[in-house]
Amino acid sequence: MQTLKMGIRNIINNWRHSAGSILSVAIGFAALTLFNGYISMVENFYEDNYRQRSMFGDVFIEKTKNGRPVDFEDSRISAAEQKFLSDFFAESAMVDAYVPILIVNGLANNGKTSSIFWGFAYDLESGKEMRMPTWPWNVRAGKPLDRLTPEHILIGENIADTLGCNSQSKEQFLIQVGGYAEREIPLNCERNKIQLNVTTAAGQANAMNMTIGALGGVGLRGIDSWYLMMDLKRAQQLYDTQDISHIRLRLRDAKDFNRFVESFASAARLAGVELRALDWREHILARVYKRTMSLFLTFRNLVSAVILTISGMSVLNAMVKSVNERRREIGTLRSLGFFRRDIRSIFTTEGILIGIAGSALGSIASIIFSLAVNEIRFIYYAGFLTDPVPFLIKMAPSLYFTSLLILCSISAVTAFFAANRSVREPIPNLLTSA
Amino acid sequence: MFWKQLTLAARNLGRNRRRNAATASAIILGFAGLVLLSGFVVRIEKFFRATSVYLNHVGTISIYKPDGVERHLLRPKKYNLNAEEQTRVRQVVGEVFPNAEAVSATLHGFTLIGNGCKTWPVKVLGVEPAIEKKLTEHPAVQNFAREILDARLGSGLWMHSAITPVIVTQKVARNLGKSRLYTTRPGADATTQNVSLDCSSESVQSKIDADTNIQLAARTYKNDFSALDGEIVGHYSSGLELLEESSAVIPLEALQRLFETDTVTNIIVHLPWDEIPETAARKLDNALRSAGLDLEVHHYRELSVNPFYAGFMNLIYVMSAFFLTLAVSVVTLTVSDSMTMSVLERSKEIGTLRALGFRQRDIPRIFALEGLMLALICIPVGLILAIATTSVINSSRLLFEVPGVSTQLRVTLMIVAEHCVWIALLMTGVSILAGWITSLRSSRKRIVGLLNSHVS
Repeated sequence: MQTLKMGIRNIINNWRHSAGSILSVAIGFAALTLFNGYISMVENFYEDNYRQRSMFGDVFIEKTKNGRPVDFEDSRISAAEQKFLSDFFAESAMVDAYVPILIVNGLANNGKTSSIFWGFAYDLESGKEMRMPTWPWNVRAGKPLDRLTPEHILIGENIADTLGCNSQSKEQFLIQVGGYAEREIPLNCERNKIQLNVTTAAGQANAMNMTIGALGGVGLRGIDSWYLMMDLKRAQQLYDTQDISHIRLRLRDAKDFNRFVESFASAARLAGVELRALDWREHILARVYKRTMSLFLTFRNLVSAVILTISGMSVLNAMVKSVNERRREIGTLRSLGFFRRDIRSIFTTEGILIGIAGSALGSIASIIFSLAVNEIRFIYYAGFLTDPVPFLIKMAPSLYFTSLLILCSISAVTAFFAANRSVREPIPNLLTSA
Repeated sequence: MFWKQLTLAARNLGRNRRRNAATASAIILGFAGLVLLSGFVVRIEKFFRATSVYLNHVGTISIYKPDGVERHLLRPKKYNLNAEEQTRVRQVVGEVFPNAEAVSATLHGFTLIGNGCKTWPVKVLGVEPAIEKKLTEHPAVQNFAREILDARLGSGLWMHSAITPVIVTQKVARNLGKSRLYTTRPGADATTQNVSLDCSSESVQSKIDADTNIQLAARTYKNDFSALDGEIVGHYSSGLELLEESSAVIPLEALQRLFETDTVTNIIVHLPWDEIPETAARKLDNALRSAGLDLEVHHYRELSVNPFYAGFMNLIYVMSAFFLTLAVSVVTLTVSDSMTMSVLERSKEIGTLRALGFRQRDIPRIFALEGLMLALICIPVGLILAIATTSVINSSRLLFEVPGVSTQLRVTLMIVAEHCVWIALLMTGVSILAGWITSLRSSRKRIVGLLNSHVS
């Protein structure tokens, strides 16, 4: 307590030096929270796009062969295995929702022009459940497939151009993390009827007539160029199969992932089925996500390193100056019986207090700047996201708390080292210093 | 007077070494950090540009029919360039850009590729083989997109005249069960076999894989069915992961034959690497209008013609601009903070200078000069630090994964002299301004007040 009192008193007595250090910490804190807040927001957009909009959930379940993973396009889960899975899910208290998926690809033809397509067929009701609560409305024009008859398909924006479809309005874009506003925008197609041509698992050509009912996609550039979604049952008829490619499921609590994987693996072993459960981030379909996050991490580390080093040097400078000017005070304290460690504690406490005060000031600056930027809503294209997104800065308490810890640590360490040299000197030298 | 001010500034810098060392470290680190970031951005930009402009035939600028970018696949007959337009465009391009590295035409479409038992849909690109050779050998591709070239296997389109050569991505080849590549070497394994296959037989897969023959099937522009025999001569990578599932490249003439047309989707122009695309596009647009051609001119930085490049670089630029703003703010405030302390501690000195006849405006000048000298000392140090870090990183042979790119890239940073100059000017400006602004108030105080001032 005495150390704390002395620390506070020293900060007040040497307010000019302290103000310099506090300002340095504040600048570092604000820069750190602002950049990380921005990166976190872009990460949220990506994660929301995958987990909710694209129905990735928490876990993928797919086929293995002789204990090894198979290419995701070759993964085929038979009807018997699907039965095992539905029984397992019904018994497991950890499963919140799941959706069976069949990968589809082929040539779409409207009688006038054709385009290749690639996408997913899924159980429409389960899919809606997986998209809840943020993406029940996942279309820019038309209606979500679960509100239409199973003959309808959803197509991506670029394939829509190729097939002569356009929405009357391009206003519908992301305004925040979460789905589109529930608003039906008319979809105009030169020809609504479309024929899907595919090759079945047995190598036979097959075709089915469908109706374009919605314009949407997964929100990722490239994929939306030929993206298509349709009802699972229709797709199974088209492919003449009962198989599915994989299952995506959402856990009641994502923290149960490891427990779920263990229980699933033992159940699958007992039942003699070759299936595996994996984190959605580890699936090949999430590779763009994983690589984008890795790029963000590189940027985040580079920026943090530069900002923290500059702030740290600045605090060190102020603390060294402060210690040098208080050599007599240190000498007096030593002659009064204070141990070296007590002096170090006083300066370290001072450093922590400066860290706290600087972080408080920095957080005020950061919050004001974030609110101002978020109000402007500068719209831009964030990498592979098809929809333009607003430039937003996240104000997460965890982010602020982490920055506070980092900067207080830096401040305390620099104060400790600044004091360390002086306290080792003999007391007479300290007392007679200018 | 200037020399006197300069001498004073230099002396002050020497006297406050410890404080200046901290200010210097902020400038050095800020400068080095920004140079390294710019080196990273340049590396990424050059990779994406070389891949899209040369290997994916986007070109520096491209000429389409009005609305052709969006609708050429929907109504190719209407939105493609006919033979006469192609000739006239080439003529105008030749006049406007005598320095063009290449002018060529491409045709885009969808086809089914079959192996006799199974078909696979692909987006096919028709290119001029001679141009394909030239672009593949382009120094920009060799230097900046080496990883994509290394992913190529087999031979190029330009090496085959007796057959219809097709290059496909490895994934397409895998989906078709065709691992072999056509070769004209004597005794080579992969030869064309015209045998009918029993698709239900057990050995069908090995029979399919025994040769390189494939069939391309599509609807012609007159809506008839058309097919073409081809040989897989190579595997390639578009560089973009999302295109790896279904891409193929064949000679333009062969694709025109398949679609029964003499039209092309666009004419692409490859200008020297450093040409500014926006200016070039405007220039060509004016020339085409003057020639009475109602066409659209686009350049590779546009989202509509080069979505991967534009989308990804957009994100990188926004992140870099944000980092630049933060780094400059941190350096500015750190330098200002240090300068303020310096000014406060030297109030008596300022008072003495004023008493000796220095004018009010001379004091900020001395501090600004201090800032300038500090920056001039720090920037070379920062540059050395950035170059040393770059050398370590570039020699580490580390690989990293870029979102959406099909192969891993070597971690290399490319420091550009022009960027270093701009960053140096920015840092110098920040340092001068900090010195000038922080001393401005003190210089306006009364001399007596300055001489009697006391700093805790």
